[in-house]
Formats: sequence, structure tokens, C-alpha cells
Amino acid sequence: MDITTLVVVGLVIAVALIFDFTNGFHDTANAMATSIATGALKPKTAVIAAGTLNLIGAFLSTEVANTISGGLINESEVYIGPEFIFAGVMGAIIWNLLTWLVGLPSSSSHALFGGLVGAVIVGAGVEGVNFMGVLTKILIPALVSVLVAGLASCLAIKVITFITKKMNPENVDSGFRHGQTVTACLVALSHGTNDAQKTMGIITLTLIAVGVQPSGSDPQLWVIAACGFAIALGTYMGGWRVIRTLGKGLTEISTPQGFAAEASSAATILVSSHLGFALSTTQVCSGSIIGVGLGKKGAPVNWGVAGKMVIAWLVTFPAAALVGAAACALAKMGLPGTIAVAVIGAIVAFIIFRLSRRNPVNAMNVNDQAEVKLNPDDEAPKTKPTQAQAA
Amino acid sequence: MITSEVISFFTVLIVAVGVASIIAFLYAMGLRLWYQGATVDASGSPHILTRVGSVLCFTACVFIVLFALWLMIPIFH
Repeated sequence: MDITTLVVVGLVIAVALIFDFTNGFHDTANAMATSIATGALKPKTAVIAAGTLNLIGAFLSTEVANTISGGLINESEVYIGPEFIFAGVMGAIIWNLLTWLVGLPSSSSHALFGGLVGAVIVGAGVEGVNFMGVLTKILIPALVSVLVAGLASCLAIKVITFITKKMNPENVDSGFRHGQTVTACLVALSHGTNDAQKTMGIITLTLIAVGVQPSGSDPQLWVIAACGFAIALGTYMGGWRVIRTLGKGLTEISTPQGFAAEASSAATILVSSHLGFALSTTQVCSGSIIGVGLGKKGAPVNWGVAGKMVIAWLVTFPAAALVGAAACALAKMGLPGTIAVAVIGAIVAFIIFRLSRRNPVNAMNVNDQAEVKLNPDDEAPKTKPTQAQAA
Repeated sequence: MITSEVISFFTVLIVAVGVASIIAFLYAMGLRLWYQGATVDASGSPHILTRVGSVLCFTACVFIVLFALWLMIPIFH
């Protein structure tokens, strides 16, 4: 292997693991936001549980996909070099960081596939992209996931409310708290058995492409371990900004609602992945929370936040594709271009991190506000003192 | 192709809504029967039948969780 290929493969492995990290911390909210919001789990306990289950999940399921892009790119017809993969993954990382900054839950898989498709369009041409696949695997599922998960959780909370209406509220609260913990852990484990495999697939297929590993072989142990630890560490760090939006921003959640949302999410994710209509975990979990808001009186849904979220879902794929395309245009110029993409990516990531420090959200203050603002001054509406107070 | 996607969508919709409602029913019923069983009747004995019903509901929930784990972990199937 020549030095250029070696450097590019090294960069692909590095960005794939960084992507896995952002995937973890972006998606902690899916499993744990409602448990943190209702107090069923302490914030730190929740992220430790989610991180551990993601790590276990990564080792339990190492059946990586045969394609990097989940069938969205005609990989047999066009050449996908490591530099294209590098550019595509970079696009996904930048989009994940941007949505985390504004606290919007968006699908990491859609960001990854979007970045790769954008890079392939620039690198290999439009004929490399399966646009029918983009419609049926990305755009339509983004819209129907809210419908399926929302309807499931809306009916679930109605059933629970009907059965428990004559019970002592304290018994209801403590009973569903235990149930919510179990359902949240199921969602976290399911995430670990799915999402780390995408990165394992990228690294394995890259190693196969450069001839380091025989074609058709399984991921090596160090790849499984590295991906498992990257996603677990990301999950443990907790994307507190996204947790705040999902736990507090969409609707006020009680423990029965949290249970209904998590149980519906787990059921929808498993049913959809086993009946051939794969839905994004992020979109399913967000849809379930909207559903429990609709299904219970006195818990109105904040449609402003929900609307922004759905727009983010629809924009995720094309936005990541744009970043991936721009990165690929640079990376195509050879090793200096690829290194330039890495440097620019690092600078953008640093700027996003600095912006997030203006108004940090963490385990201590995650439940204090309902929305994520960039400036602390925007957080609480300032009220003028009344005349009586002034006097 | 589109027809098969529509059929898969409605299958997922119906099964997911059904499963979520069944889990919600079983767990809520389990809780309700458990706390009903905690009270004593006129003769001073606890309501055994409601307690048994509650345990059956929770057992069904445990089986659903085990089935979910079986679905999630490829080594089992």
C-alpha cells in the first residue's frame, strides 16, 4: 500500500470513529430523554446505562451490511474510493454537530447516507445514486415514522389512562417509573445492535477495498471494539442539548407517558426492522413523544418545536449531501485536498463546540428549560417588575 | 414496488400499534390489579385472585421483553 492510500485509509478510520462518537451522543436522547425528564433515572445514571448497553449491543450484533450506503449508491457500477467515503462521513459529522448545537434530534443514519451520496455525486456522477432508494428509504420513512410511532404511543397512553384513572397517582407514578426504565434500556440496546454496525461496515469495506482484508470477511475484533467503545463513549457523554428538546421541549411528560412513549418506540423499531419497512430510531422516538402529548389531556404538544424537528429530518439528507459534496470536491484533488478537508472539518467542529459553550446544557441543568438557545440571554423571558414590586 | 412498500407500511402500522397497545394494557392492568390486591376484603383476607391476575399480566410483559431481546440479538436466530 502506498503512503497516500495509507494516509487516506487512516483518515477514513479516524472520521468513521468520530462519526460513531457523534452518533452515540446525538442518539442518547432517543432512549433516555423521557426517563431523564420524568426523573425515572438520574441524568448520569441514564447515560451510563445507555452507554453500557450500546457497548454490549455492539458486540452482540456484528452482522454488518454488505453495502456502505444501504443500497442508496450503485456500488457495483461506480468506483467509491476511500477519499469519497472520507468526504461523505465528514459531511455527516458536521451535520450531526450542527443539529446537536441547536438541540434538534436528527437521524445519524440519514446524515451518513446523505454525506456519502453527496460525495459520490461529485466524485462519480449522478448515475451512481439510486434516487428511488432515496425516496423510499429516506424521505417517505421520515414522514411516516411520526405517524406510526405517534399513533402507537397515542393509543398506548389512552389505554393506560383508562385503566389507571381510579388508581392512587403515587402508585401509578412509581409503577410506571420501573416500567419506563426497562423500556428505555430496550431502546438503548437496540441502538447498540444497529448503529455501531454502520461504522464497522464502513471500516471493514474500506479495508477490503484496499486489499488489507479478504472480500466478504467479517469485521476484525479491533474494529468491533473500537466502534463499540466510540459509540458507548459518545452515548455516555450525553447529547444533553438533544435530550432537553426531546424530554422537555415537545411536551410535558409524566411517567405513564414516558412508559407509553418508550414502549411504543421499542415496539415500532423492532416491528419495522423485522417486517421490511425500516424506520429511523430518532424519528420513531420523537414521533412517540408527540403521540403521548396528543393522547393525554393537559399535555399540549409544542408544535413550533415539532415543526422545526420535522423540517430538520427532511433537510438532514440533502444538507449532509451538500457538505459531503463540497468535501469530496476538495478531496478529489489528492492527498493535500483530503488533508485540507480534515483541517477544515476540525476547525468547523471547534467553532460549533465554542458556540455551544455560550449556553452549555449538561446533566445539572438539562431539565431546567424546555428549549435550547444559543445565547443564555434568550433563555428566560425577562419580566419587568410590576409597580407594586418596584415600590 | 410501490404497492409492496404500501403493504409493508400498513403491516408495520397495524402491528406496531397493536403491540404497543397490548404492552400498555398488560402493564397498566398488572399495576391496577396489584394495588387492588393489596386491600383486604370483609373477611380480612387479601384478594388472591387479583394478585394472581397481576402476576400473570407482569409475566406476559416479561415474555414480551424476552421476545424483544430474542429479535434484537442475531445469535439467537
